[in-house]
Amino acid sequence: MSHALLAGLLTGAVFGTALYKVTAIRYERVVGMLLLTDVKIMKFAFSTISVAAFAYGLADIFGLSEATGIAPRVMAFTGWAHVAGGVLFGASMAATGFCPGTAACRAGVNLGSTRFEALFAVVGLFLGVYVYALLKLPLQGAGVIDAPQGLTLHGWMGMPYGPAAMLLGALFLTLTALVDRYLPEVPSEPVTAPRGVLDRVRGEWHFFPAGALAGLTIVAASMQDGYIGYSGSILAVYGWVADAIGQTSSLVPKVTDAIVWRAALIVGVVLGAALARLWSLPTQQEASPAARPAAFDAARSARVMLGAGGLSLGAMVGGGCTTGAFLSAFPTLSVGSFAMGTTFFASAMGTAWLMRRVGAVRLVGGRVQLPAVGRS
Amino acid sequence: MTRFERFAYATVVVALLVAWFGLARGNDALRSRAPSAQVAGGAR
Repeated sequence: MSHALLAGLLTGAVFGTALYKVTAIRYERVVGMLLLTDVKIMKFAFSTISVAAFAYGLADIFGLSEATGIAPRVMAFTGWAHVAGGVLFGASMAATGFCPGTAACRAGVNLGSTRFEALFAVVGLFLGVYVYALLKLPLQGAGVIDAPQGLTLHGWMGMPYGPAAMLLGALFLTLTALVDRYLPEVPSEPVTAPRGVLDRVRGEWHFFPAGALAGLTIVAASMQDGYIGYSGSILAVYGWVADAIGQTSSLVPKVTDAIVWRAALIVGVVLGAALARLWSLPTQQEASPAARPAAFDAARSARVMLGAGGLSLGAMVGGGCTTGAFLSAFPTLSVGSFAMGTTFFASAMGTAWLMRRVGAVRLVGGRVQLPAVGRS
Repeated sequence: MTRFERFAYATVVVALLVAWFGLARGNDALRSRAPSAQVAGGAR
């Protein structure tokens, strides 16, 4: 169990470092991606998917999958659950600027500060799991959540996995290059201009190195027979705690090494992000007085908690979050992840567009300003 | 064309060649691999 705990912590810490260094934790970056006014996080995500797909594809084609453990774990297809969960998850993501992984990451970055939104978001994530535990059976009874099926695109097309994964990787790398050419990215804003290689490492990272690190971490998780997905990690922590206090949840009937690994994963993200903050150069945003509010905003914290509850419930119903149903799952060619991922991005982009229309999100010079919730 | 674009398109060409090689070779080790059991019934 201690090996699973350490391995999960380390894997989560590396992934959390990538999220922090590419600034995926910033509300402006997330909403900017949804409004197509700042696509850095989109390029990071596409790079992650392409690198992971190439690694899986190469391992399969050259017959190394079984020996190395570099083999995909397929997110199940569960029918209309992807639509129901995806709509809720996407709307919540646009409203809060969080996903489960970045909420944990931001909680780590804000350790020791007077910003508490991310902490309330993490509490909201657990509340979402609790609501899901209550709703799961009724949703299954109503036919919203079907029995899981291991459907894959390459299986449906009758193709071997390796070449199909290479084609997917090529597609996402091409998309990354096209997005980089034709859509805007708001440049990073270091407090002082970087001088030398060390300053570049300590500053905000380009999307591709961060994406490559995240993609390789996803592959490394496969080598440990694990899977990176943070709503699943929240569920694992929930199940572990429930078991520890003698209230074993039907969602996690037994605390195995796999559950411990998954629970450690999200704790690792918090620690990795906190450490990355320590060795990184501060951005102008982090150095500004707004990063150290003097008063606690209870209303905003409550809204974030509610939004995070929606995120978590949506991810539970739909089968995964931004990491588990998109970054980790697309390289496996899972049909369920395609259904969930396209639904939640459509919902998130629609919600962000509506928020902009009603003035809840403002753009100044192409930059997202003054979010209603989730600012950091 | 930027340095990243040159890198990306060169990588895409190599990836397509490897995919073609994989198809020609016909290695299909993972096609029959059943989806592994996931945490609490789902990947998430």
